[in-house]
Amino acid sequence: MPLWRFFDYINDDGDDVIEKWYEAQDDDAIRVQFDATIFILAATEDWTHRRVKSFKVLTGRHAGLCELRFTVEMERKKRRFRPLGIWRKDSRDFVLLGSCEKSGRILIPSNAFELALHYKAEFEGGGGRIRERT
Amino acid sequence: MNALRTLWAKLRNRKYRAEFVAAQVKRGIPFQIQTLMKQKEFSQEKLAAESGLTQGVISRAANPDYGNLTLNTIIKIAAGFDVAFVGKFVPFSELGKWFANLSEESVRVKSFNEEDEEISQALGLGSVEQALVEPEEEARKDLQPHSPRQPQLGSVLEIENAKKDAQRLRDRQREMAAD
Repeated sequence: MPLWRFFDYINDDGDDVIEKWYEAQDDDAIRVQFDATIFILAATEDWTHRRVKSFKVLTGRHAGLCELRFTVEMERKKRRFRPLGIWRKDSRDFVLLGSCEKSGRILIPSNAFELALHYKAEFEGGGGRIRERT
Repeated sequence: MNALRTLWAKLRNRKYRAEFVAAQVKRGIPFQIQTLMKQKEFSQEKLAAESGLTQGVISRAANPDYGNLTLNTIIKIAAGFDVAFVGKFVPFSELGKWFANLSEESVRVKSFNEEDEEISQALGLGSVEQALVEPEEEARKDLQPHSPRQPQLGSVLEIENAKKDAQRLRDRQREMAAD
């Protein structure tokens, strides 16, 4: 039984936003590292422990969002990914609102954080729905 | 069951499953190192000292994004925790179950000393202390004036070795108690 559960956010248009991102990735290695990061976080008691590098609570203009962090090594190049979502400590779950790749200061897609904030507001306003990611 | 079902469907893709094996090693082992450090209340410095490695190597070994962990480092870390490490080829069903049932509890491991009493009892062996003290006593008896066996150089060496072993054990126990 995992300690934490993960949910996909399905927006008002009926799109599973994280699954769309997942399926659009150009390499299976990205999907695997995303899945493995989720498996391991689901089994990790304290995500805020200093040794847990794959989770970060965001502040400033992205306050309220959290990001998962994982790296994929491809042809001697490290690609960094940041799935975004809402961490709900009380219900011990994480709602995935989207994701992006971070290349230096460039985000792909560039509006990933704004979209995640939009979905957060939509969800907290009673819109959309969530589905457990298994 | 659902997690394994979903994972198994993904493992039908050969590239995915090859990458998944890499992810288990690169992310699963650092996760277990972190969990064991927490379980045994080891800092990176303490694990480095017990393993004969530097703190920097431990830091990288516990980082799931490092990805260049060597077998030699893993073996030394196993020795530092005083646990075994089994690297073996397994079917994907075993790997799938490992991930699907993953928890901090499922990767906790007892050190040799933690399981010694239980295993020794089940196998009808005495304690480690007894195993070291008894040869010392036996050797002493051999040195008594009416001993059936005359003192020989071997007996003296046996006493000295048994004393050293017993002292080492006591030092180790004191260290563990202090930790």
